[in-house]
Amino acid sequence: MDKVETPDTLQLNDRLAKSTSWFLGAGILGVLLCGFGYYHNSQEFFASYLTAFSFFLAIALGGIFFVMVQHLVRAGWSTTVRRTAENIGNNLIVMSVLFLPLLLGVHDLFEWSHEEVRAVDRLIQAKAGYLNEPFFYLRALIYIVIWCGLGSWFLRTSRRQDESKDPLLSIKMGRASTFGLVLFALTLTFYALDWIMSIDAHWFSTMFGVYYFAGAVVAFYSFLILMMTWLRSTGHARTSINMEHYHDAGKLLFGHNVFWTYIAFSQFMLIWYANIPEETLFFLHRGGDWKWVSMLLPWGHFAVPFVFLMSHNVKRKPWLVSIGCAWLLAMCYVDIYWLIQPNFHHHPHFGIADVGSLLAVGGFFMFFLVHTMRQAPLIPVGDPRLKMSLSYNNGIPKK
Amino acid sequence: MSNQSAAASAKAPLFGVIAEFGSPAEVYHAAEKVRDAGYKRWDVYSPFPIHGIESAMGIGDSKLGWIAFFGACAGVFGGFGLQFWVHKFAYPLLIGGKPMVAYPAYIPVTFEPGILFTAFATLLGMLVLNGLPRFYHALFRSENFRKVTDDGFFIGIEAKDPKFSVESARALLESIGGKNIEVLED
Repeated sequence: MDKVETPDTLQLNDRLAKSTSWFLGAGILGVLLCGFGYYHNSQEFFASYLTAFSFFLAIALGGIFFVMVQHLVRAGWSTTVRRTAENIGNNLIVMSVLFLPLLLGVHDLFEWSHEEVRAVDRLIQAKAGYLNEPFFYLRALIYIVIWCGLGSWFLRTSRRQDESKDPLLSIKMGRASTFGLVLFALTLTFYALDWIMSIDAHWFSTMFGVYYFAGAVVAFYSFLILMMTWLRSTGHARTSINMEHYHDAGKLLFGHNVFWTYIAFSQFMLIWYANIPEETLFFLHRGGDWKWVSMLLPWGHFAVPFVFLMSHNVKRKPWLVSIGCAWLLAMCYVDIYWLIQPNFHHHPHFGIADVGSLLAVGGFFMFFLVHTMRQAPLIPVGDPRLKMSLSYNNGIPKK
Repeated sequence: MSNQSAAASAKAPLFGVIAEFGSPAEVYHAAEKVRDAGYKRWDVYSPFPIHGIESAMGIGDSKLGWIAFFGACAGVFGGFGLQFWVHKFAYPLLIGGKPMVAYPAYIPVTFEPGILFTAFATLLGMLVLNGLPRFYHALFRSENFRKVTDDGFFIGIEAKDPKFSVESARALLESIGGKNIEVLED
């Protein structure tokens, strides 16, 4: 294959690499705050930590989802941004380490794991075939192994293609994506059921897995566009990642945000309409003082971004769309916060453990991500579809 | 050929002047020059879409988005309004212990006319903006123009253009590399 010439900086420069010390600092500060939070109230701490962990996990899972879908449909446009997604997906390795503290919190988080509850609670007894500790830990191990395997394999294979320029590797990654996506869907769904839905083991929703998935993909696209802006504003890949890629990433963000709304509303609508006590309990817990957080989701997660991101004039302006993405990313955190925290607090509560967990998980997440980005070119330079991506055009007239 | 056409133009109204180009790149660069010459009523004809031709022709954003948007608004407000009016005023009926105006239940029905009216507005708007349906077009008078469905790339400058004259349009098309130039009656 011909060597693709771009005038771009494709290796991470010092200006961006310097940020690692800040992220490491944030991570360590976060750990200290977490320690403080843990000794203050361990249950509160684990709830906060699970919130922050599930949020960053959603971004990393969105990364491997994006990579696999692009391979599966043999997309040309996305090649230059795919490396960033591969780097984000590879972060599932650091997420598996950050997962370990949660194993200490199972008894704080999950009522079903208490012997005395199980002894008297008929519903939890009935679910014990699935919700028992050995099986629960085994499942967690399976998720972690699959995630680390997928996340690192796609990055490694793509990096190998940087050197060898072998188009057969693209076909191989396409084939792996078929099985990969099935494993992805199952592990993500069961993670959401195990670690978020089973906090309230009496309640159930058949849409819960896809709800977490929909939010995860929105979080990922928001994060991806922010990363694109960060890379470009520090002088990387300025022509390889251009307005056409912003436009398409923006369209996918917009579409998936509508998909999230569709799933969220469908879940609410069915429960509200049927009005069965064991189901409506979920929304009862999220009324009262939690109501303004609940109302923030339809307005802040859907309505405002829907109007804001609709025009292509916004999607094609990096700073403008990045503001929308930062907002949506915050809303994705609110969404997961809203899923987990009302189980532990009667009132919305954002304390030192929440700040500490966000800093700890986010700091190490970003530290590892920048470290990964440093090791290889910022776009897949050996991909046979790179030229398609570089010359991609949405057909929007220049003003 | 061109003499015949010029003679014909004396007695019948003109459609305009068309010229053939050899490749998408040639027609692309020729389009930029027609645009820069200040013509407004003209078009590029090609067997397949040419990336970036809108910019080369100086075409702005399509108005279709706005037409679709107003269709969507009509559907959304109409759909919601109908349900609201029925449940609040026309035929109030208590259902399942919900409030009379139980707006979450209205959302699916609001959504559907929103989609339906958007689709209608988009389709009809597209037809109107493209001047369709049309059973006759002056371009079909040209034998040579038939290539446009296979391997021919054409530019046609229309007589409706305020700057149009047969001589100047022909001279421009010749100067930018057009071949087989024809003057077509309407």
